[in-house]
Amino acid sequence: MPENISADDYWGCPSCDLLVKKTPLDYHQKALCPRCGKTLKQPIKNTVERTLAVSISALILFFPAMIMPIMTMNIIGNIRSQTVLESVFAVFNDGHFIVAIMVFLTCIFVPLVKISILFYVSLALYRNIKLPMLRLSYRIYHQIDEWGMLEVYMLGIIVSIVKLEGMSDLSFNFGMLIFACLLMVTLLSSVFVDEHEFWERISKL
Amino acid sequence: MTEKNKSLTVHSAGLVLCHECHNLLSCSEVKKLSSPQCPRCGSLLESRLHNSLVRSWALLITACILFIPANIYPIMIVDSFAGEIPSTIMKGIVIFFNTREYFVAFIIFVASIVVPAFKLVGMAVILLAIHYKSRFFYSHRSNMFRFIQFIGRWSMLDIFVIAIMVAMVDFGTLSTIHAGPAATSFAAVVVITMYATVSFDPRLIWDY
Repeated sequence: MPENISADDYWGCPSCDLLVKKTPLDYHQKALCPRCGKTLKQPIKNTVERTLAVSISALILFFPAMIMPIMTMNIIGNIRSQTVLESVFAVFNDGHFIVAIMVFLTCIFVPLVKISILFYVSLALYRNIKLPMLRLSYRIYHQIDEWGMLEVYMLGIIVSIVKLEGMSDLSFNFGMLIFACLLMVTLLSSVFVDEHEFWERISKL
Repeated sequence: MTEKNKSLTVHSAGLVLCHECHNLLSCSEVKKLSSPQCPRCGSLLESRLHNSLVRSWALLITACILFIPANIYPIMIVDSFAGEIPSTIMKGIVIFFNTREYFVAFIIFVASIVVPAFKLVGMAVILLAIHYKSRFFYSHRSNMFRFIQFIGRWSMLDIFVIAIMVAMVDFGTLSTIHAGPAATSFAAVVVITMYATVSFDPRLIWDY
């Protein structure tokens, strides 16, 4: 067991356990593990400011995106509109509780919690205030990161459009645009977060 | 590059890597802590995720068992004045193919059959290789695991399509779509395989 290894000089790869010597990185340069290729660190410029801006936009767009109808179907005069919330309720009323809960969690609850936590944490870091439960909330963010599936829902909308187009007269509502904007903003928020920077600054608060 | 058996790893150097905030801690720092929690993020410090292999196997076998009813039972039932038309996942793909929507048929085929099958087979290969202490293709297995983590969520596509269709096509006796019994099984397969990738510690691949 080598005794002269100082933990401050190295990164540990979380994917293959290799110790990699730290090198100074410029913004948007990536450090990759030489053995398994996992990204070890990628500094992002102005990460806190960008995350704050993007999470505020996401929060503004979120509720309209969930409430406004996305598309309208017209079969011989019968009209039917659909919002994201309505799709959850429809499956629930159909009797499939687990599927309804899963759709609710992955498309509504988890994205909302993620952008709220990002807003909370980036606000605290931006204003240098030590808000309660910062560490816990940022940990929760990383745990539920992969459970937000708005992109998959968007692809589901596209596939449904193709399926329903032959059946009826389909038209898009304004809610579709809002939903697309929300999707882009949530994707941006996951790109702008620099975990190392956030953890360092949280521990210094 | 160091020799195969002499790579400098976190484990061989006696250090601990926090699995949530990737903070590297030395022995002396760990001894100073009052409880085994990372000083930076507060999560439990473990050199490897606890019971990783046991949990991954259990979840993987459950997902394999649930994959069977997901494909046998109908996932969607179209109710119209012509009667009930149930369709399984495969049947839905075939219908798309026959109506010449090749692109959509391909997407649903990939998302609902290829991706879950690949995840199940891929995780089984990785876990078996660890049990047999195999030395083949480390970096390929690591990359495959990362790929499995990445594509896991895309299998939910079929579930969302059904949820949207059930909400949209609700015209009473003219045409109504209901979700079939396979919907719950399929959702369960996706969720359980995602949990299996979360509970598996990829460092075990390299721990020969």
